[in-house]
Amino acid sequence: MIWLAIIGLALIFIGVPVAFALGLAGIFGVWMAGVPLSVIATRTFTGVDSFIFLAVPFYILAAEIMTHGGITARLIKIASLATSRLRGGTAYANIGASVLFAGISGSAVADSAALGRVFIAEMPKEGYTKDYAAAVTVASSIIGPIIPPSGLAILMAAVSGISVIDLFLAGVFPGLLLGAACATVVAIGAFRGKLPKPNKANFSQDGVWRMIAEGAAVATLPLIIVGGMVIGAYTATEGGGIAVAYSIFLSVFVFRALDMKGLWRAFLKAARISATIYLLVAAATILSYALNLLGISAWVTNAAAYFSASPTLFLLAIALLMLILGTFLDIGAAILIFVPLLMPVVYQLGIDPLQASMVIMLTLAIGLITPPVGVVLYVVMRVGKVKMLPLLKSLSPFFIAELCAIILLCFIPSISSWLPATFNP
Amino acid sequence: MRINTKKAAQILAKSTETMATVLLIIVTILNLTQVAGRYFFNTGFSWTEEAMRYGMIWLMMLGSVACIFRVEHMGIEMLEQLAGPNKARFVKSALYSLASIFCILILYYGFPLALRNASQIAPASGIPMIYPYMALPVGSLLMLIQIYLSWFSGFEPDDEDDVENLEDNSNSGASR
Repeated sequence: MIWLAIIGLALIFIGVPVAFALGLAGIFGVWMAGVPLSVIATRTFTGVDSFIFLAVPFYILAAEIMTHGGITARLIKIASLATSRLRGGTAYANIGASVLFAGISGSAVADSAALGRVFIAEMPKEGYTKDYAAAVTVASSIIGPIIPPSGLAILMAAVSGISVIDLFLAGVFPGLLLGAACATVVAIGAFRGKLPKPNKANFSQDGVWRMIAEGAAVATLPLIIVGGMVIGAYTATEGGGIAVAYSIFLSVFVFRALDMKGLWRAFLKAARISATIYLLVAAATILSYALNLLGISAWVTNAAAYFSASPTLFLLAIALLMLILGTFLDIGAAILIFVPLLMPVVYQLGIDPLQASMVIMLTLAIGLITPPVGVVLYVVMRVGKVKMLPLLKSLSPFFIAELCAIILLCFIPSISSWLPATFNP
Repeated sequence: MRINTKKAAQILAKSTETMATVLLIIVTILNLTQVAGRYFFNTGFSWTEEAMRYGMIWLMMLGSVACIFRVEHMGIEMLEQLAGPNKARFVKSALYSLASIFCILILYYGFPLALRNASQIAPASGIPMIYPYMALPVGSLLMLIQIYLSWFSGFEPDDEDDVENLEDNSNSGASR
């Protein structure tokens, strides 16, 4: 098993594309376990042949259509409207826009790219440093995969057997908590007088109502999706289809920001992104199968025995493990490989599985904004033309605040479980 | 020679991603048909679900071919940055050659698997199972061809539609 880990990590670190690296490591593991290699083709196929997982491409597609369909600008306007009187207002607006954006997209990368392009250009004009603007964008972007609809939650549901609806509902408060953590850092900066006030001239009062109406139309999407699922009108996958239909309706017919060519491009992009994620999942399935053949589950169960006295300590340990894994492993792959191993222990120790899922999702999401494989970091560095080190320096207080949010999540189960228990008992 | 391989790599990428996109459109329509069918006609089309799942497997393999050309499969780019701009393409070629071992194995084991399932039929849709299973060998063969073509053309996706690619070069998507 040690060899398997070494080979897998070596392949990833020298830069073999992650999906292929995981697949190769998995195949090596199957070979080590002495099982006929013909099983790898079957595993590749069955790994992605799942109805729940089918929901992922639809949410990618809906987000893709929405972001190219003039939605981003509207969300930003709404968020700015609410915070225009405060010191540090535009920084709050950045966070607020991330929360709203999270409701249409399940992706931190999409969030940071779409919002970063606007905010990192606009905030320095008001007197923020560029690094600070980039840091707020990066820190708040990981709200995206936590608040529903969320690709991560779907993946989590597919491997853990927890219902997608519960995971969607469970993500609402932890997502808001992350937002609050970022806002606290901004508030401290504002209190110390370090942050500028928004430029009043940017806000004309004309068309406020139109703005609010359009913003409300966009913000309705997550309510339609999650609401429909809660009342049992459709499954998560069908909800994804409805999200696509609604986003086409809004961006093509209502906002008229997307023509047929733009729509085709959105489908094209979504198809390519879905392909890479599917391939990653298929490859991770092989690796996960190999790890099981080599007896990793017994190993995990043994390790868990140390924590039987304190389930909270186990959650903190998971958080630490995922934080480390998240820095270099793809988040989807990490969920696929480790959640099936951890979940039995979670149940055994009497931990709320929704709470554990949220802790895992949040800590892995933080891996998106830490080097060496911080996808969001790289996107924002490219979009905003900022350097890694100054960005990390501005990011560090946000990072600490988000870690505090995760610790809070480990100690208070009801942050995750209250909403699902209330609306989907 | 180099121009020709570049052209070939490009054509392969364009045609596979177009097919993947058409599949995504079909899968989306099937999904909406399924909801509409249940509400307006009171009949669940049980075959739509199977068709969607199999469609996505083809989409995965075909889309992955195009993503090799466009260098959109996520990976750490540290080594090639260390190697510098002149040698980066050789590093990339070497890394993708390692990746191609995965494709070779999927091709080698996927083809007999498809043949073994040739006589099976999917329960709800009646699709012969050889069609979905063929995605693995066909897709991995195309990926191999794409890797070796890109080997000669240098893993340099043309920039014609990179205007909006700033945000998305590699890896957006659900899980990130």
